[in-house]
Amino acid sequence: MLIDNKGENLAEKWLSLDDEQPLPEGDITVSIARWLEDKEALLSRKGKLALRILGDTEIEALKDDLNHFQLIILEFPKFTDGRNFSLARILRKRLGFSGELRASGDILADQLLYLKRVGIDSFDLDEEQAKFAKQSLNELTVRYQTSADIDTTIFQRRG
Amino acid sequence: MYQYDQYDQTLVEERVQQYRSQTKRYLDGDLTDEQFRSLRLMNGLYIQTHAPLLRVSVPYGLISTRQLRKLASIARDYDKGYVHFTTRQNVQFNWPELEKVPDILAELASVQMQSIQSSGNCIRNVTSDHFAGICPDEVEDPRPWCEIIRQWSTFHPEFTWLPRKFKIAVTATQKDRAATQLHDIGLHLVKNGQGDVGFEVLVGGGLGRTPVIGKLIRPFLEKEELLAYLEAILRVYNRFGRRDNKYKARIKILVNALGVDTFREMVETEWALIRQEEQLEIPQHEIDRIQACFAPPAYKADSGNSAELETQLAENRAFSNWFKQNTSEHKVAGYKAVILSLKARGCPPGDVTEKQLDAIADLADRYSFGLLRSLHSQNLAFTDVQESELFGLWQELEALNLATANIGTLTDIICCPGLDFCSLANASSIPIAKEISERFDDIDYLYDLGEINIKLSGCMNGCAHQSVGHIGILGVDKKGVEWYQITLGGSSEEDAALGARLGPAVSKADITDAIGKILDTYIDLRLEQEPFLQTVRRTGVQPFKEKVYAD
Repeated sequence: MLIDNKGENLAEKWLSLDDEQPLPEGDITVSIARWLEDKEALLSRKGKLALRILGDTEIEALKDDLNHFQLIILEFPKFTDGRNFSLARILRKRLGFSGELRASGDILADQLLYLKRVGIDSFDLDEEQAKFAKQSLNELTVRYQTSADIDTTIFQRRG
Repeated sequence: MYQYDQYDQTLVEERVQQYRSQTKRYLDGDLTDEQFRSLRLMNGLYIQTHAPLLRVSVPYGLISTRQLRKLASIARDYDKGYVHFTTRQNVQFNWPELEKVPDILAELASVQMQSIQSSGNCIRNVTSDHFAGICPDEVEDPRPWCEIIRQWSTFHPEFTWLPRKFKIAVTATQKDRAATQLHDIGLHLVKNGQGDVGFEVLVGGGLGRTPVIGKLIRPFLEKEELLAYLEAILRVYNRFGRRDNKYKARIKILVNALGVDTFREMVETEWALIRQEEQLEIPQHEIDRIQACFAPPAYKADSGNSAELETQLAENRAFSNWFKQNTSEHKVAGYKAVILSLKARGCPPGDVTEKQLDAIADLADRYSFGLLRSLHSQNLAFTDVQESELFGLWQELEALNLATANIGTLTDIICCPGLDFCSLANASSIPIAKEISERFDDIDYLYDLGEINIKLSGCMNGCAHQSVGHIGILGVDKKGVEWYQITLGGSSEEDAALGARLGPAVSKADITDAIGKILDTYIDLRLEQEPFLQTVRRTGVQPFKEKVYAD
């Protein structure tokens, strides 16, 4: 189920393209392998392009390619794997990616606020978790650290 | 001590509500066991052999009497009338009901306590020297820096789903009372050649299955760089630490695999980038505000009455034994720190009853400015007692069974809950500690042995730090039977080292005898005043081995 980072439902259709599948029309998502192999064909077609990445991605190596993607999808095979939290932060604050960041896969409602803080805009997750999204996104209001959402620590914010 | 402001208080209150709703979702079937497991652990709740176990944070071991009375009332109302102090200065309830834990958290929040990140694969409660603030040779009080780290690490958006748990300790004296070399990050406040105070940074220490001594990653870090540097270490670990095997997931494994030099380069590269991207320096007014919370109490200018104390010491051997073992020097003349022994004969190490907690709170109010400390060694301390009041305090502690004069001796055993409570344990530990404390209870014998610590864990997760005990005892299971492996010569202090294995495990029936033989060997071998640890290091384990396995 697809929601934004306020917990509202989103209706979008992106086709998740396998590495072997022929290039279709429309908005598609591709793996890094596909991107590296088919760069020119992918850029010369019509439709929006999204990149799917996993936690072990060396995202810095893709710095010069990022402006070609309207969306980057950070895939979570397991909710306990926190590498994407660092990748999101790096994409936002170091590599200056200004398109949409989406977390997708095995994600708990309780992680959404943290993901929002590191720069994620939307979530593709199980319905059982999505139904608690609004509650979970709003239950903690105090933020001690800087992240993609806020430039000051609590130490700077206190009078 | 640190006082919550509106941000801190709001945060813990919101956390109570959050955890209440997580518990409800679990009970309603909206969270699986596995999902709820991660969430409850990040709130210090384990499911143990008999009941859940709730670990409550005591940040850097500092606790007020108001908080202590709250722990006592929770022990009465929600538990079986006692609590357990841990090696990381925290406090545990052994018998709470899962459904009632949100109510316990609400009680804790009312006295500025919480259990956030006291377990789970996240940054844990930061620990420190239990004598912080009173040591004559302290570079600077480490507690304000601990508090800054506590806040920075609480609900960190990026570092809450780490490969494995992450522990940080901070000290500021030569003597290491916080086992900093066995932490994921150890921070030492030091002065550089210019007289500036900053941090020496160690990384990659840890116990458990693969015990490793921390390595120096940076000899001097400017204070204003603390958070940027911590973020750099954590980011490298979060990205590159192993996640395929939980026994290889601690930062120590990453540091060893890369080598500390490569790891350092990665951290320094990351640090340089963070410094360009983020403003993580803490404003001076905020440092001042936090430091002011730890200002010294109103010591009396002329509190020394040494003549009277000398007389009391001369006339009462039990008192002078206690004075020698259980009190410690203080930077202010006329004051002493007093350690309350939670290692009375036959009692489970670190356990305190609710009646004792209330009584301790009353004593701390009368004798030590209403504050106390919990120790890595699973004891408690009053850090600011006038020398002229020591005799009165000793008598009151005696009546509470808290004045056993055994601090630093063989029976000051560090011990995990073991098979009696813990679902991970392979062997019992509390009964062994009890047997040892009963067998070797002759106080003159203990004093003759001098400083020896026994650390006793019921499984190789090593909660009692047996790998760094002068005598380490590790319970193992062999085909359903409890056996004990012995190591000798370990230390968690400034001379940190891992103990050497003595030989094959000994049976439960023989373990106390084996300890006796080790002690006999030491007495035979020691030179003059040579402490146990030095003897073992001088002779190696061979002579001990020959004696223990003689038959």
